[in-house]
Amino acid sequence: MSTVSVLQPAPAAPRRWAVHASRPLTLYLGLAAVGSYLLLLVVLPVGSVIRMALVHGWPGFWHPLTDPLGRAALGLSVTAGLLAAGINTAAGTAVAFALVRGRFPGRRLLDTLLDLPLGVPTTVSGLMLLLLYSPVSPIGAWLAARHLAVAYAPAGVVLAMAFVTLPYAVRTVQPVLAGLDRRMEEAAWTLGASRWRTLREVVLPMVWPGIASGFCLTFSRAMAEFGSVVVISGNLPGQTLVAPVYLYGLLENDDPFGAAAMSVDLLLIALAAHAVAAWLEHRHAARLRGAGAVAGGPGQGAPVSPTARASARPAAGRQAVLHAGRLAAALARRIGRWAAAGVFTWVWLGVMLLLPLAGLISGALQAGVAGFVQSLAQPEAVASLRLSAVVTAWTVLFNVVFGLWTATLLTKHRFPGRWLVSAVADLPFALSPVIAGLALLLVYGPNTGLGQWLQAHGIHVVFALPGMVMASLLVTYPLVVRELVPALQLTGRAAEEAAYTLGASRWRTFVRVTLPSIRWSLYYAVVLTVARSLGEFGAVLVVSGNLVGVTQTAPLYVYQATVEHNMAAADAVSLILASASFVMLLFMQFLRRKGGLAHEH
Amino acid sequence: MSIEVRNLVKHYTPGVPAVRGVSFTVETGEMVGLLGPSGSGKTTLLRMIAGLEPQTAGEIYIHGRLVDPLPPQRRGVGVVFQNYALFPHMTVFENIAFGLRVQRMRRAEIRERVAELLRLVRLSGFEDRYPSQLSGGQAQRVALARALAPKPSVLLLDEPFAAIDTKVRKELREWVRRVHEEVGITSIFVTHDQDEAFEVADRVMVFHDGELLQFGTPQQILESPATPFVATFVGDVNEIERQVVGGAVSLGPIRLSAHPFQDGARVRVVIRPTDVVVAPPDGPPVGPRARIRRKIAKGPVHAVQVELQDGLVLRAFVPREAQWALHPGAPVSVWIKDYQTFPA
Repeated sequence: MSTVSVLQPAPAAPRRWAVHASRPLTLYLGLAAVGSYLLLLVVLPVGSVIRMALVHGWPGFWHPLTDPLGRAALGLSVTAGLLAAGINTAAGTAVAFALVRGRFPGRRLLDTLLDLPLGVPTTVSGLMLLLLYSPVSPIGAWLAARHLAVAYAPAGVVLAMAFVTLPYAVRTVQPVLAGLDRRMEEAAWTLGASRWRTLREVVLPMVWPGIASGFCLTFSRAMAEFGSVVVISGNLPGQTLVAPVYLYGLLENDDPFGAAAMSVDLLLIALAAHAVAAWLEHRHAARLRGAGAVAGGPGQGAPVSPTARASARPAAGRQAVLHAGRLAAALARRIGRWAAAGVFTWVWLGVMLLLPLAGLISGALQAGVAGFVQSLAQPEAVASLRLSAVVTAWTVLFNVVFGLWTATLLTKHRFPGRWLVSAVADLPFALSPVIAGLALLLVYGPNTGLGQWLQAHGIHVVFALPGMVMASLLVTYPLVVRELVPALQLTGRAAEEAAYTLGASRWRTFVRVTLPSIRWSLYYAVVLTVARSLGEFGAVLVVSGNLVGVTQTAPLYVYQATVEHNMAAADAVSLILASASFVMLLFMQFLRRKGGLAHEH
Repeated sequence: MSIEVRNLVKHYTPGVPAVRGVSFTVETGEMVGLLGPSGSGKTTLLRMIAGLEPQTAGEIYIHGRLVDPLPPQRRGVGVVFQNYALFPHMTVFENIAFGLRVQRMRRAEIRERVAELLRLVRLSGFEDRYPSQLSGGQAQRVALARALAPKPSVLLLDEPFAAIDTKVRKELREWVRRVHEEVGITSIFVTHDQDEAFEVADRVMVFHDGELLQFGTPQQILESPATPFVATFVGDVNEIERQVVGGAVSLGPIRLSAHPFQDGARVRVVIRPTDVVVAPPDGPPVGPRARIRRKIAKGPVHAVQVELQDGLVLRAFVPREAQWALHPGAPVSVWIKDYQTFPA
């Protein structure tokens, strides 16, 4: 509506960073605090893993590959991870389409339930799948009769990975689709293009980078998966033993060098996947930038970027997806597009999500409510649940303080090395939980100088509460930062500057203006932290020592009970954990809607 | 008749009409401006003609053929979208060629037709650019070329100049008008800018609240607006509400006939600033006394506010040539050349 007069020079673009916000004192204080926090939590631990792997020089990287079992484990992790990511990306893209565009009964419900694997402890996920597919269950027996084993077989590994990473692909494609300008498609239709052609030539090329980056993230997460795989795979060396479990085995057998070497290999693969994802997202953003907002001045054509935009070449995988899409389109024509999408979403999420959940509920209540209560009343069960709550509370506290501090530092200040802080804060995303545990052990464990010094001064980190909290923090900290950084970037700058001109101090402005404007994101980050740290298994397993009644959290209890075939106990505690994560899920959905609304204003 | 719309109704949510029973006919080769404030239903109307939005009731004919059952792909309608909706992953060439490839035209023909269109929109040499490398005006011209490529019989433009700088906008709209004539197409364009509508269109439709208030040439609409809304929307007017007394309404010392309204009725008097004649206090002509309150230079005229004796303020346009003093506080005489009355 507003038009800038041609005669007046355009107002200078507002400085991105408020002048007031870069006062050195707060910057240095923040840098010191966040820097030491990151040093103790991320840099030192990850650094020690790398150092340990290089104790014997560069061949350390190859060490896991010299052991046939290690080679097989790494191969299985990569293959199964790729398979799970492929399945989830294909199905997840279709589900994302259905959830964004479709109108069918239960759409909101499925959209909410989709995040369940994020909240359910991974050991509980493994247990759910085990209950459903173990040879003694009806489905497992039916499959076994046809020589199609899932439990204790490579297929189970893929299934567990696919279950745990189910939301990832959907959640990366969903916003891209939702943000897609519908007019692009309408333009194609008015030019005579069929719906299928429009999907293929207009929609897919635009969401393709999102889909591919979702694939990379899903793969990285799938490959790192420990808790659910350890439960369902049976861990047969050379057959169903994945790399994180192999690594854990080396650790148990007092081979920290081998474990560290395998960790570094896994970390490198994960980092590569993350780098590809980041690159794809960056390229995508660069390509679409300016295409929507085309209000350029006279004759000021945007400079031609030297980076040639590679036209997307059809790859073999893409061709396969296209064929599958053509089939789906034929089906859709039969019963109506969105009806088909709805049916697919229900079937896929039903098999992958609802069925395992139903298995868990029926398993926990098999012995009736009385049996359920009795299983829960076991002193070990009660102690484990209580410990989980304590660890979670501490984790939330630290995450809120340091997550906010980090995010503020990253968004409100400019300083050399900002990218480094950001990268270090993101690093734990690429860590398999077992590696996170190993990393902490290598810094604070009983065999290190620092560990011994701490112990001599009566501070017990490893095999005690502080270590478990640190393990949870290491896994959840990047979630909080990633959630808060965009929120802080998006809101508040103009409002903060307004507050400064009205005479409010920095602190007052932060508390009264900035915090309220990002409160929904903060709550969301807290809920994410609770869900994730309640369920954290791998990292806590390594650091805690898993002492029954002392350092055994609820997910560890579930694992132990499953291994000991005490299914009633495992089911009961699992149901409590799953219910807790379900409640968290409802919170998350509510907060996302609130946050989304807040962003629109 | 190129486009005929009969009793077209659209409800997005039941009971809340976005378009309420609109009928009109657009002749072949005509360029029609669809003018109205935002939210008046003009874009909805355009989208229904394009087949992008199903109507709740009514019929649409294009070249005498009922197009209601046809999807947008088969209506032969070219659309230039607001913000253009160029495909960001395709070059200018690929964008324009898209509709031709859909028709399975041969490669050589496609190349020829795209080159011809690029000449038409004066963008030859821009084939390999991506939309993100174009200025607003260039993107708009590409969007136009893309819409014209499959030789549609009807061209629909949704706020085609909204995202462009004032100066370029003026050039572009004259140029779009020329292209319209060169191609010999029937066009409807949506705008909320009255200057744009009056300058470019053969005829203008004024839309408000889902209703078509008036459809006529720019002159008809400016000279005899059908409703007070049209009058106030298309021009910067004085609008005064008064009760009829003795067959007339009084604006301070000025009395205007209220025919055909009865005594006691409340009427809205609409006076264009050009119809408020401001003269030196000693005439000629001699009118009731008033005083200048404010003066703003506005292109070829002075916009002045004159205050009548009882405090009523009217806006008036005075030609710049007026030699006599127009400074604030100066006494003047005022009379009304023309006005319209509507029921209040």
